Amino acid sequence: MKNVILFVAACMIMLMLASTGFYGDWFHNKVLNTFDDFSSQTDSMDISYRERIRWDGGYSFATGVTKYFADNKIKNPLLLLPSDKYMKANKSNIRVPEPIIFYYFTGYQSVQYTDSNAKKANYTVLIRNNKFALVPINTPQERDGIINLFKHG
Amino acid sequence: MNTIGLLFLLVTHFLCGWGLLQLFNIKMKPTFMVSLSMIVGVVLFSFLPLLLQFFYIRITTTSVLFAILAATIILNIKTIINFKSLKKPEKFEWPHLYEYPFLIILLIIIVASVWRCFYFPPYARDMLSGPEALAEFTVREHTLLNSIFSVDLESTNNHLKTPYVADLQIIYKLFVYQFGQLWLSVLFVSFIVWVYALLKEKLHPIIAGIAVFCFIAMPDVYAYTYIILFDYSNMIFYFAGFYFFILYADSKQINQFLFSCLLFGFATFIRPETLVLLGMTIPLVVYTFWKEHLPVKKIIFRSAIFLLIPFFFYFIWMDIFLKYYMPVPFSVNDQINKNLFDFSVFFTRFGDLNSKLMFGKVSSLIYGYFMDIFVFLLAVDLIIFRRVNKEGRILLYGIVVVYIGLPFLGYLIPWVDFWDTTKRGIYKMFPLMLLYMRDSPMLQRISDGIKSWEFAKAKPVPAVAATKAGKTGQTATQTKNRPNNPGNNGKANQKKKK
Repeated sequence: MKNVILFVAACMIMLMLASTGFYGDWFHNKVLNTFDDFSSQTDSMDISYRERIRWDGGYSFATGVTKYFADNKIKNPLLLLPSDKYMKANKSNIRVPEPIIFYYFTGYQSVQYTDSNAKKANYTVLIRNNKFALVPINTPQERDGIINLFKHG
Repeated sequence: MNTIGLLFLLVTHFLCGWGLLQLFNIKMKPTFMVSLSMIVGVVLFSFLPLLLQFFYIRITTTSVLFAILAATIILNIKTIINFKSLKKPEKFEWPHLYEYPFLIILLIIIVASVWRCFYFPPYARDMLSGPEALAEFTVREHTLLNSIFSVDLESTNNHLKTPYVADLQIIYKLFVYQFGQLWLSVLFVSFIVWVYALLKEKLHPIIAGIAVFCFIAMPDVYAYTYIILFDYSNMIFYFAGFYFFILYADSKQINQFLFSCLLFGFATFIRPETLVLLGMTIPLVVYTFWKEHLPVKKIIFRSAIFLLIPFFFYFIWMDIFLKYYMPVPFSVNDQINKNLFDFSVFFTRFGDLNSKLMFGKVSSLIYGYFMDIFVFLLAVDLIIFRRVNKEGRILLYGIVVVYIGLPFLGYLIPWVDFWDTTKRGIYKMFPLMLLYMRDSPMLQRISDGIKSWEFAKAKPVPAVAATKAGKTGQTATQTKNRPNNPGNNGKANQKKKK
């Protein structure tokens, strides 16, 4: 009988903790919400889909660039990554991945404009008419101009 | 997902951990042994790819498989030799009925964490720009010294962090699936089982359940049960080191002291700056030996061991692998504060730790009310009960080391920033606070109150009343409420009454 009384007491305590106040909010938002998404997630087990929803804009940016390089069979590209300042100035919310993360996402090399190897970059991404454009860098003058653009936003 | 690969890893984690516990002659209850074996088994595996790389052996599924099998056999030689003398495991005790509401909630929380850990890829920037990238290209190129070092690494130093996460990621990517990560769930589940069992040793299961719930429901800490990083693991091993030191302080068995040193070594392997905190623990170690009336030479020798074992783990990464294997330069001296005479950084950091992280506006959003509960309990214990037992005192020392040590690390090493490294460094306090709760006189009194009510023997039925009922002569020894299944608590309670 005492076991049952304690069981009822434990139920009430846990119910109170898991449904009211701070812990109730946490339990609902961080734990139970997982199960709300559960059925849709089990329907979408595709690895690249899971990567895309987790890594968001930076990943889409990187895979877009990869697709261009692969489709156009461009060998050994070195991408000059646009700076955060440049992205903000052009009203883009996408956070461009840093070179090591870009390499992890795509397997392609990239550099930031601050890096000494930026002078060797032969491609970059610019925003034109609110769209990304992958642009080849053909001359040192072009490269310096783009570096200047990324520097000042 | 390769389920057989996962099962293979789970079994070998357990066997390796079990073997190591046997080598140190650690004997505990089955729940403790199983959960601790899993925890230790995970960290042991994190050395294997590094070991292969030391000998320039290609890191492939086959080589890692052989490394795992070799480690399992080597660590279990003692178990195999003594196989016949192994005791039968104790009978498993099912939880009381009233533990189930808590266990169900706990299970829901754990399942949510494990699912997220499984479903989503590694997320933290510190992982993607370091250990995760290193692991991914190791799997592709079969060496830790792979093409990520050809990339512009100016924006990060995460590739230089210890290989604990990268190595486990490599193993889980090779044997389970490409996101790895599930080793974190193994650690998390084993750890929660262990701490719950630890609390139940001294507290009523309902009190233990509430305490563990408050511990697990710290939002920031919970997030790192499914987002791989170093801090949750570091917290576990820092705690485990203190736990075995407490056992040593109680039993004076040297094997427990050595095992404690090893666990602190694992904590250092995961986060090398733990060594500084261990340096700050030396006064406690020396004091414990001094109270034991050990000769001075022995005190010095054992204190040196306490630091040398963790230092060994620091040394193999920082002074051997980084220096002689890594293709990029790294110097510890460059990481140290150049203006050591300016102590203002320490005091500013210490102030911020209190006013912003621990007791600030956002602290409940980060850590819930766990810290407030602990401070309240401690205040009641000190003001009303005016006593803290030896275990509690050691735990409080460990908490103070983190409390002072983190601002000190911020002063010593400028890259130890506030909102990331310090915020997560605090985690190390929490399991110590949780374990303190089982020593809290206030909680013990509440616990004892529930237990004595639960297992109370009935008062003798008065003779008059019995006569009225027509049952004379059988009243003296009759009990009103006999516990259905007193279990350990009942036994403990009955012993106490004797």
